Amino acid sequence: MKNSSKYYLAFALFVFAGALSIPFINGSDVSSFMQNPLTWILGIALAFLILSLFAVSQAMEGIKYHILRKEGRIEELKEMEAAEAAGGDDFLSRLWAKLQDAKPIEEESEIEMDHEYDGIRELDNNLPPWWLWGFYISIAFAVVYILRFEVLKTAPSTAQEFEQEMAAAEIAKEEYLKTAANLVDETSVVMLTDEALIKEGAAIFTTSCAVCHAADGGGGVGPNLTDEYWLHGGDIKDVFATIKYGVPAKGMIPWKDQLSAAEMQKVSSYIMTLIGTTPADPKEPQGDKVTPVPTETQENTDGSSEQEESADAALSLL
Amino acid sequence: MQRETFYYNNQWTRNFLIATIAWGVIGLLVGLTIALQLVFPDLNMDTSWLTFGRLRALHTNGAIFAFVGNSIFAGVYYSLPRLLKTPMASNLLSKIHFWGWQLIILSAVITLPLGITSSKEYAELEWPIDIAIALIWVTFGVNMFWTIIKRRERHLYVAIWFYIATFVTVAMLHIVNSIEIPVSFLKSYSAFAGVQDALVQWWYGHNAVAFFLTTPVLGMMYYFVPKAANRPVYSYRLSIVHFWALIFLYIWAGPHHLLYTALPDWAQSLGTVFSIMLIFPSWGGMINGLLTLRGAWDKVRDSAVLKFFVVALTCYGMATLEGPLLSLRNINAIAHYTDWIPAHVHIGTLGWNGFMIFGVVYWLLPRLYQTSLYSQKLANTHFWIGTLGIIFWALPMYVAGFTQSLMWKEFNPDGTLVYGNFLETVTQIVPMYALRALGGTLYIIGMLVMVVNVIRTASSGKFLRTEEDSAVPFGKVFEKPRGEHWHRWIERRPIQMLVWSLVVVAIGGILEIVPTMMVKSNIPTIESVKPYTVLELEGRDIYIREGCNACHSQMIRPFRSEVARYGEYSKAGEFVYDHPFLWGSKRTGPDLHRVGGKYPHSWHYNHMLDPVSMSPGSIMPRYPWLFENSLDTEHTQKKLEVMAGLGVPYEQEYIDNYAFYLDRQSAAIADELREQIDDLEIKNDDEIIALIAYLQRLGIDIKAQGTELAEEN
Repeated sequence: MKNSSKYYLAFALFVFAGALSIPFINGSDVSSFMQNPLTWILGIALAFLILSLFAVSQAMEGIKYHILRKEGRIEELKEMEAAEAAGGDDFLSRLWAKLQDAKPIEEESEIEMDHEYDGIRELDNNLPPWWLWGFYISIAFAVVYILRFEVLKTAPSTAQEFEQEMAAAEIAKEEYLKTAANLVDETSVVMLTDEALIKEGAAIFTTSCAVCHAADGGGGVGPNLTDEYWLHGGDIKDVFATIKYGVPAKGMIPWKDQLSAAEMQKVSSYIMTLIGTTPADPKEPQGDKVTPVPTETQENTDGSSEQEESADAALSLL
Repeated sequence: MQRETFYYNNQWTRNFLIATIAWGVIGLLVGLTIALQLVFPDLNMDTSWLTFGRLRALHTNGAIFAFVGNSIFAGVYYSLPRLLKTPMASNLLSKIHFWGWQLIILSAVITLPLGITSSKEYAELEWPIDIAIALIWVTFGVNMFWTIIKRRERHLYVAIWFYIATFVTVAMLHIVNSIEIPVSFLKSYSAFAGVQDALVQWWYGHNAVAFFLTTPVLGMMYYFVPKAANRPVYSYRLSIVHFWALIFLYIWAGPHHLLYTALPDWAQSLGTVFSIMLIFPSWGGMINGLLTLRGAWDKVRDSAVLKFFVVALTCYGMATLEGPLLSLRNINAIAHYTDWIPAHVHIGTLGWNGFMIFGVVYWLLPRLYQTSLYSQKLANTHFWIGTLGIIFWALPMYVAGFTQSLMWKEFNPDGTLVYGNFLETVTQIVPMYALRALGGTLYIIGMLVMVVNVIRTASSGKFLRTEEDSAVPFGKVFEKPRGEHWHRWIERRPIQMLVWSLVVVAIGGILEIVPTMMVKSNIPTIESVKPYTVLELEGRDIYIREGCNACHSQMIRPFRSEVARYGEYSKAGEFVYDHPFLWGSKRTGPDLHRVGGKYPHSWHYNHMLDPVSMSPGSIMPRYPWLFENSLDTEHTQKKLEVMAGLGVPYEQEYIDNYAFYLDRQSAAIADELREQIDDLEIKNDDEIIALIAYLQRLGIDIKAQGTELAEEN
């Protein structure tokens, strides 16, 4: 491998680094970039390009060697022997030797500086070509980046990126809402009766509500949820609305950003099942008395018995 | 010229070395304490001066300025005289430098746990200590330059270039970032506000890493690595190119700490590209060190010193590649505010700084005590435990950072956040915090092994207080040799070296900071943003005192996931009265910029009293003293006056009658609390009232319809 192949390699590296920096420069998502089949096709094509450049370069060297004059051949052989001594003759070692461009240790006295400091000597090896090219590429990256983001503005500003992200999210959400069934709000919410769903509601209650209302709904910072007295309405629709929008003045926070509508429906339904149960340490009743029996339920075959039970329990308290 | 004999004084090297080790152990034990507090919040002990928010600053300051700082001085006081063939110029200045620096550290140990802090990261110390730091730093600089002037070596070795650049740049950074107006002996307000303060702070903070944790340590590397390996430095011309490129480019990169914040985009882009351009100049230092070991790799197997140096240089290379990658917008969007950043930082501090220091200690100590190391085996044990410690520290934090970030950003198809409750994303990574504490423990055990080795070595030898050397001084006349490298010119002119270093490092700062200060369009005015009320201002000072910004950011980035979680993203104009800015750099807890009005007063009251009562599983400490202490209003009026002097529009009438306004607002909040919580015992002047007032004000000014609270104010 003679000097010429250095330039092929440098070119290949340059192209490769340039390709890699595309997603960073245009600010697009790295993961989607990596998932794009085009990326991989391009990568493999580049790898072949680099390999073929080297094959061509090697072939050229071979041809040159055979047509060289005899004296030239001997010099050439000597050079190759020196290279071998420096670190093997396989492709990678030679590639590394080229990229590093270091004076072999045996010859380092040639490049030793004529000064020393407290016994510390200094060599004057060339800047490693891989290092220098890397530095140039990083500078090229910087120039292109500034041009695109700050001068030509062909790449999005942070504010534009945000707008794009929000717009895409809005479209995705609308698409979903079109297909998603069972969307509820405080005007349409009905009592769930599926036991599994109520159980999910119970789980939400434990993580989010129990702190203020106690694990058994008996109340604490917040009011007792097991009696039939309600501060903000005891209908499932009222409970749903209270959870959704909160009662900030009284300390109840709005949950609409933390729980989805379906989750709020589940937890509201669970709360309705608490009415009439007997908590360990009930807080005194607050608010107005409301008829305890839920008036509306979602059609479901499994849940009817439980609903009756809770209704029975509520009646027995009266 | 005749050969002259002279004597090096090893006393200050030895003292700085002992200080390095002692403060190192203390600083890292504080680090372990706060790491454990994140796993076991009860370790905050309900004691103000033991809480995470206050101790975190003590840990960072201890590690940076006490551990690494003392080691730098030990390295300089040993290598500089030997490279210049003259003793340190003034024993008195060395003495003042040593004791002054230890006193500064001691004052940090006292003031930071007491909550006396400016809140600016790695610059938390209050103004009297800032002045002391400046004076001692200049003492160091004078001593260094005096020594350089008395040198017997005409040219300056590359290590000294790095020392000079360190001195001049740290002086510049420290002085500019510490411009603050005193309120009292231990309280001041930053002269800059909001976006400008953030930019100045991270220009400082980033370059504290560059010029306190990197350049002086590179200087030490250039002395101790070739010495220990007994090999020539690999490339003189690489030294030249990477030195000048490094110091020029580093300064610009500060804004990469503020990507996607309210800092103008152009400054962010400069931060990104200069970080990318830094990769190769940084690696220049790494390869010049590693390639110096060419032909000495057989020694690395046996020598603990060289092993420490090799891992240190490798960690340096890893951290300086990772840093620029983290400066790319799309990677930063994932990593910022998460534990990825502490992982990155600790590869640098534990790996690069710590291991360089340990290598120097093991190399220097036997020479100072005219003996051989007590145990090579213990030193090798230290190496392996320490390496394991770094791995156990960093890997769990990479996992934690990545996991949490993905959880923050995950949406349900209906547009709600999957993990709407921030706490879920915290409890998920607490096991990783436990593993990290294990890594820290291993690293400290390694250090304790070193302490044993150091004590045994020192007690077996005799301290060499003065060391004889001789050299021929250089003559007045210098004949330039033919074919001399152009850079030799400046190597024999230390003053030019100083001046040009300053010029080179000043460019980046000036071109970034001045336009941000001067050009109005960088920070668009928002009419509805008003100054804090006097009670809110006092609450803000409590927030600063408790170090809330160590775990909570006040900067919502323009991402869908953040807007959904916290509300409208933060705008530059919202921070114009924030002296100092409190954007934070890590979210161990949620962002608080729009927490105002989000919860009722009673929520904050209960939450500060016992966070678990409102958020089960929370790892936040309890703050019982806020419910016992009465708000100290001794300096309140002065605070308003200082703020007014800084351009915050407080009218004279308001300043004069501050007590009336303060009492009125605190009474209103206390009354509301009494209404919300039964049987509440609360006094209107409890500190908690001021803190609630501040929290409830956060981020509400730009909301179209102000809450009741805002109208009340």
